[in-house]
Amino acid sequence: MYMKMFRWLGTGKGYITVLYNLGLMLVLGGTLGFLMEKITDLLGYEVHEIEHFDDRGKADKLQ
Amino acid sequence: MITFPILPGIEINLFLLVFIGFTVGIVGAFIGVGGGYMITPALMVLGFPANFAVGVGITHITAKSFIATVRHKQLGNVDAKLGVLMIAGTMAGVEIGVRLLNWVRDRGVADEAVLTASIIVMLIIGGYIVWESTKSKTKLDEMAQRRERLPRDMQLSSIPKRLQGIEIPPMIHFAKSRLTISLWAVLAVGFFTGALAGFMGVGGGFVRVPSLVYLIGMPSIIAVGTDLFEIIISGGYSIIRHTMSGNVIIYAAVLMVFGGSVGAQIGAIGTRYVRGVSVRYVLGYSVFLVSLGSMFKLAHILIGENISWIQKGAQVIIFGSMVILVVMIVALILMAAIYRRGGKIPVWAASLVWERE
Repeated sequence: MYMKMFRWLGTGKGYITVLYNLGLMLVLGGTLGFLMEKITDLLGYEVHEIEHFDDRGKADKLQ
Repeated sequence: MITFPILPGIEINLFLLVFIGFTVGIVGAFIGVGGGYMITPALMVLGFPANFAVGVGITHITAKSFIATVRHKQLGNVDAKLGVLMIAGTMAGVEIGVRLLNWVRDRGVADEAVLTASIIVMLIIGGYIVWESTKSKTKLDEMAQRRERLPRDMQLSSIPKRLQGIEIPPMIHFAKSRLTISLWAVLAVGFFTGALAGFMGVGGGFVRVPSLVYLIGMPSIIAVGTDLFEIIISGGYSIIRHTMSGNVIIYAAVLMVFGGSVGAQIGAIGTRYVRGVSVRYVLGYSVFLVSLGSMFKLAHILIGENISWIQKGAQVIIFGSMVILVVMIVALILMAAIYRRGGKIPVWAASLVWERE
């Protein structure tokens, strides 16, 4: 019975580690991403959307 | 120097760990790849065993791609709709690619043959990107000589037009990329790139970005942001797989993420300063770098495991090439900044940088 319980706990711990690693990376990624946005705002660096297509002329359209 | 309980007796240089995250962050966010092919050898140079180098690398790539995607989204470089649809095809393709690889191995085909095939594919992809980018740049230079207004992006593949012409319903319009294409074409391209990546045993960013550009017809810089968005999902799946295999040292990954968070800003914001052709140039050379790494791996298999200098040499060359890619990107950004302020830059560089705000 103890062996069963340990095996179950082992599996449980494995899942916790997986969730912890995955959660930590996603939370860290999201948080640092938004934090970096705020930092550049604070530094006064304006980030605009890139002009991918030039609507003023035909030249910018992809072939 | 820091140590990890799981790696007794191995001391890792903390500064270099953060520095690797930083440099790969710049390159990855600029060309839209995770950069596992650069991180793994670099971490091995630091002293990580191969399995941990792969696990730590892929774990940090997920967070770093998230950070880069947030910035690319702000820059308008992410076509989330296309990314989500394509990932379905990609995941199925990766599974088939891995199964195909196992099937080939079961039939007695040696690892050397599989690796040689992968190298040839990579050389073809890298060669095509560099060839096409050179042709596009020549065309841009000619336009500049005629004093015509230069576009942000231009590529010479005729495949997107043909693929967009196949009208099998449902046809889907992607407003961000300004293209209308059959759902089946998107899934097929995702499947094809996924299968290729699965067969070659790589993450696949360097296959997906050129496919998005040359097959789907997406502007290069949007392809970069969209691929990083896809990596969040595929990287998340890899974290699960590697954690279950016990290959992840989460604290090492966290340290790299901090370096990568700054590097990713430079790489992502750097796309504001360049034309699409510059992104493709760096991507092309980066693919050659991957094939170089695989060539050393092949030499290592063919000559034998006792010759460790080959492995060390490969790691050092790849580590050095990573720095060269960063220098290329930073040089492009600096030249664009100088050009925008009315300064002089080499004539050949004028068609690579974006002169307007």
